[in-house]
Amino acid sequence: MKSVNIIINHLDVTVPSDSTILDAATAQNIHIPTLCHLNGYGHSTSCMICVVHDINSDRLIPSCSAVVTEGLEIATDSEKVRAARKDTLDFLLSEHIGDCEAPCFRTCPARMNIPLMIRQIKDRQFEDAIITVKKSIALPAVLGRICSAPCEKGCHRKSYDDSVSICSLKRYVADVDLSHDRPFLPVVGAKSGKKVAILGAGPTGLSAAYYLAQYGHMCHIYDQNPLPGGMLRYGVSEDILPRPVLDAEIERIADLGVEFFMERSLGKDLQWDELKSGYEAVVVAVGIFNPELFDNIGISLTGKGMAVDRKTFETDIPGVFAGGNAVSESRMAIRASAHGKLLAESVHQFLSDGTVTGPTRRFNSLLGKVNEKDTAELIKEAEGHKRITYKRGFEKGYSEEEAVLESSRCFGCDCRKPNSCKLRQYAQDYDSNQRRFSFTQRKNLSRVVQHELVIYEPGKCIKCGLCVQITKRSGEHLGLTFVGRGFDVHVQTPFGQPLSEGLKKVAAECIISCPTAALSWRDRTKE
Amino acid sequence: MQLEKGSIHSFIDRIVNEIGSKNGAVIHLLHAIQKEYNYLPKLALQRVCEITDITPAAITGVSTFYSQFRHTPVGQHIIRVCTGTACHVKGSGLVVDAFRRELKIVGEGDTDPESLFTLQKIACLGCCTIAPVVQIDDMTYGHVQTDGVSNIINDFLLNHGKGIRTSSRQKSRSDNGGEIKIGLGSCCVASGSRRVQQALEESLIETGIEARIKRVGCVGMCHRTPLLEVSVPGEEPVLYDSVQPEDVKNIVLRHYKPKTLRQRIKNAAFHLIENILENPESNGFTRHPLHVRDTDIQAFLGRQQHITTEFSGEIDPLDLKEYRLKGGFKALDRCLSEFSQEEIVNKIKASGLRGRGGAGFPTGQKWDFARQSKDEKKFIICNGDEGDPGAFMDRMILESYPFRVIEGMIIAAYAVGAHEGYFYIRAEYPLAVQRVRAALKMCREDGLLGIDILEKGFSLELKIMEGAGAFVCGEETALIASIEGKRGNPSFRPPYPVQKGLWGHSTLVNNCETLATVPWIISRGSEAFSKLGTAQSKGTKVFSLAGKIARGGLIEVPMGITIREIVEDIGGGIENNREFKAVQIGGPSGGCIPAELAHTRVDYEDLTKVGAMMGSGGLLVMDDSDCMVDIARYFMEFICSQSCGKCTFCRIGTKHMLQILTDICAGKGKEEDLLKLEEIALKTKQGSLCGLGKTAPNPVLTTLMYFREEYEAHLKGQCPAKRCEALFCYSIDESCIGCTICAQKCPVGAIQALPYQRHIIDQKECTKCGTCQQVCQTDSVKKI
Repeated sequence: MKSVNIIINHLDVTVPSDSTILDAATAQNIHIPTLCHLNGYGHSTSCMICVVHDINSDRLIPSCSAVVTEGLEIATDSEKVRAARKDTLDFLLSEHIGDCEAPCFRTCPARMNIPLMIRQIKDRQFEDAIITVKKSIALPAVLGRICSAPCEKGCHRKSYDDSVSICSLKRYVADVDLSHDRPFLPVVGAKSGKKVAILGAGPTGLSAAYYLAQYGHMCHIYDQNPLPGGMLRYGVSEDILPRPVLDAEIERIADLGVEFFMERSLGKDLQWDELKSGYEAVVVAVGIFNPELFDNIGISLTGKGMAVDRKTFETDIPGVFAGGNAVSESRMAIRASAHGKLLAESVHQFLSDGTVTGPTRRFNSLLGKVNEKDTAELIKEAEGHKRITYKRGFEKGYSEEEAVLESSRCFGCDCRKPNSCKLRQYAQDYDSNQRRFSFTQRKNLSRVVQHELVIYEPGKCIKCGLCVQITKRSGEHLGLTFVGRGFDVHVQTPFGQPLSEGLKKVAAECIISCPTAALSWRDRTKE
Repeated sequence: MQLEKGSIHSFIDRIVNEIGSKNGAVIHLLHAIQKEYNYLPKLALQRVCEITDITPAAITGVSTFYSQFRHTPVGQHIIRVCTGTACHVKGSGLVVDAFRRELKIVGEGDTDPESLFTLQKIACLGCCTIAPVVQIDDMTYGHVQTDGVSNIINDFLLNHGKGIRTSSRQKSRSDNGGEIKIGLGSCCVASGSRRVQQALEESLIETGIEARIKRVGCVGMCHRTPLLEVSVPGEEPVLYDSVQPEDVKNIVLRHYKPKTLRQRIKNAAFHLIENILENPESNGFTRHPLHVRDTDIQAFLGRQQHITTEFSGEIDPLDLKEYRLKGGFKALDRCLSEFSQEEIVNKIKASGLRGRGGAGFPTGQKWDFARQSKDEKKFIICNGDEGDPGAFMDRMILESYPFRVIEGMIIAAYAVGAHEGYFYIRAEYPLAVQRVRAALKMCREDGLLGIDILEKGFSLELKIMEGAGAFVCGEETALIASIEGKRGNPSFRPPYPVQKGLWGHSTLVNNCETLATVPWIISRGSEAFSKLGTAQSKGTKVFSLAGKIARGGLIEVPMGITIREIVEDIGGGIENNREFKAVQIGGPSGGCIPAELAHTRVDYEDLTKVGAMMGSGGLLVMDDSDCMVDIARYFMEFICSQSCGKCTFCRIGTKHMLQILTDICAGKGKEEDLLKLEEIALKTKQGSLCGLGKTAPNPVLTTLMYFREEYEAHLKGQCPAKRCEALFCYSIDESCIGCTICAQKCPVGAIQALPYQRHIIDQKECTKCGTCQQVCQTDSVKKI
């Protein structure tokens, strides 16, 4: 085998003369992103994400197709290359019809994976559902009664009839859990040996403690009131929030080893120096506070409350974090609770290696508003009946049957490949902006649900043609083919036959190779 | 119509037997099926898959890629409205609307309620000089106006199916009476030259006059077709243009005396009505008065230099004997007997000939790569997939000089060592296909093709591959995919076709104009060719000159000539005394050059410098009534419909550009749109895989560069050229005499008839079809 000498990212390498630039880079453990490329199949050079900079000709060339030549000099990750890849992604996403995460999930301040919870209810997997809920919400039975449910406002089902009763479903899951002899307790990480002081036993402080404890940190909550709960206990009527429910959920937090120090008030029976010296980190989660007091400590204030980094909740003082009504006033209990969860992550980062970046926000493709044609597609995977109301009254909430019935109304608009989609991953890596190039009118959403195992969403297809190649090689009788050309080109079964006729043998291979969720498993647990 | 399974199966079985059952046969089979059924019945396609190697996926993919193929039944007749560039600037969009109204086609449909006519828009029929052009089945109508569509439909219904009767005259008549030449290029045919030919034959029989009728190829003066030239021995030949069948007898009698006395008396009376012919009544389509040979024809031909189009208008396209008498195939003979392959390549190199398809790659160098390829099997392809709307050079060359192209192709094949080859010709050019097919047959019979050509030991087989409606197939890798029976998707180069092309073998792809130039270079020498032109661009270039020009047509000019010389000297300036605004050169890959830059030379590098491109040679002239934003939008719409859809930038970028341009033309543009448009244009140029995408932004970028103020005016709600429908309206001024014709002709009843009063247009009803302006006798309808 002949070989040639090339330079990749200033590195001299010798590679076989028939290798593509992508092969050569891969052999050096240099990663080049690809979408339409699949080892063992012909290159179609369609997506253009794999471009690299040919320094001698000053051109960008697709590395999956370009073969190495003697003296070639390549940059695989220069600014120019990254910009071109971002262009590719921005273009691809401009015609991408779908939400990575469902709007409910995105709009939930606590970032709860709502669609997953709903599916678990539908499958009557209530023990799994409570895990999903408590991953993001420390007090779900409480919030299930008082939450203003911003998640329901974004629900696409609203464009069809009414949003799914997410809040009631969450309450159902939490109530069922609390009714057990041994309600759910999360697994707690190994003890870190670090101590965190939390000022305030309201929703923010309780949540922060719940998640910090799971990271293995020791949490001490200080509060001026005799009992924990803050506004939940002292600001919400018992008709709406029966105290046994609140107590039960707080008890779960105490079960994690969180210690409560009640009737302790900062500046009176609790001194700041005491906290600074006794704890590695401090969380300020007080609902009502005296600004002067914190000003003296050295935490800068804004008109609304304490000044914090919006992403990390960190104040001017390293190691001191603040959230909830301490940073700005709001009546939304879910927001307060969410702050607690989110800042726990920052505190944990601070206690781990000191670099505080806050919770990671993943890239999210947005479907935007849905019209009648879109909902006609979405309803294919949901039941058409109206929203289920509590038949047994507010006090009791949903029955199991009601909850299951309500859960079946969910469109399931979240992506089936939120983690394995390469498009989403690269969009994250290259900081893509879906709205940079936008169409006044997008194509309608389309979901082919005919195949027993496969869901096909043409609006997520990037026209890489891998499935067309795979079905062709496998000898599928009908297989898949491109139909039409230009912007309207799409993949379809020949002669308009059903998808099940086109994908008889290699559905799995096609799904796995599909770089997006254009082809995905009907069964979401396979993701 | 219910199609019977049994009859479909036996039809398919028969054509598969004739055409073949390999993958490469798929496009041929689809053409055959469509010819039989007028569309592609699913049963037929399924049968093909049952009995051939062609898979359902392949046949579906291919049949939906090419725009010629239809999957649903159509009306009895097909109306094709050309939407090429020349037709567009002359209002083809309004013609489409007029047909829809006339045929009562509503909504998304394309067929009238009685399924008599199906209306289609077609990329370009290549009859740009008689724009706007409409073709109904095989009858072509030029200069169509919106108020003429019902006349056209009536004319078609009256005349279709009558065909052109073949002459009962014997061919071998004495030549004593001289000859009458009749142009039979597509423009001529579209303008009715076949009917003129028929009338001529009839007149000669009737009068007993002995003169030879000679068919010649394109004369280039397409703006004056049909053309007839009478050469009586001892007299100066006289050329008649815009000849109609009813004019023919008159012309004949001007030059010849009938043989019998009875005929003489009859014809004396005939002369009396001559005047009537010179005052034709407008039927909404072509009826030109007669012109005799005049000075502007001299001006039209004066600056031209015919190399590729040598003997233009003199030789019969399909008279092999004549071609050989005039020196044809001598170059081939010399190549086969005197020169080594390397010598031939060096001659082409020395001539400086560059690819005439658009990109201008040095031809000799390409040949050398192919020659040096070690591949034991090599192919040659003549690229006749001229797709640029507004360009018709390749069509004319293939129609008028098929032997010259074949000769060039054999020389090229010999020089590189290829023994098999293809003509890839656009399906929209049936006459070209027909002529090349006939020419190939004659060459085979004459020992110029096949085994042991001219007994010099070299063998070559040439076949024809008809395209099926895909602009992108002009790109060489897409063209090769198409011959292989695949979707016309381009692929990444290298490997270049000369390294690895058709079926994996070394393949030389040359444009047909390039090949037609080769025999001249061999005969006259490289130096004779390289003497012409500029430092980087040698020889001559054929252009199709169309648009708002007084004398449009096919021209061949030396490289280095300026745009102004072409427009003013050859083209006779702008028609209708309007103002010269710009030329669009190079079609969708080219750019718009403003009149201020008309001193730009026709040269590959000079044109690229101003943002345009030589392209294949479409040269469209525009006047002050043409909107440059609309032109940019027009080309982008074309590109969007022609992009193969494979690579991200071309598929999506062009769509974004089209959306922005459409918004701007509709008066919905936003301030930031121009920057966004420029950004997307540059990204698409940089990121696209093939030449189509890489050059598609050129019309946008050049209009943004030279006519930015026009874009800005649109953002403010004004179209300075009053072309963009949303941004102007029609109004009748005080000069209206109240003749009521506009009210009578208005197709939507937006004008109430008010005899002797000034008429008013109801803007709410008005569809801006422009009929009122066309019919107004007092020029009182104005765009405001």
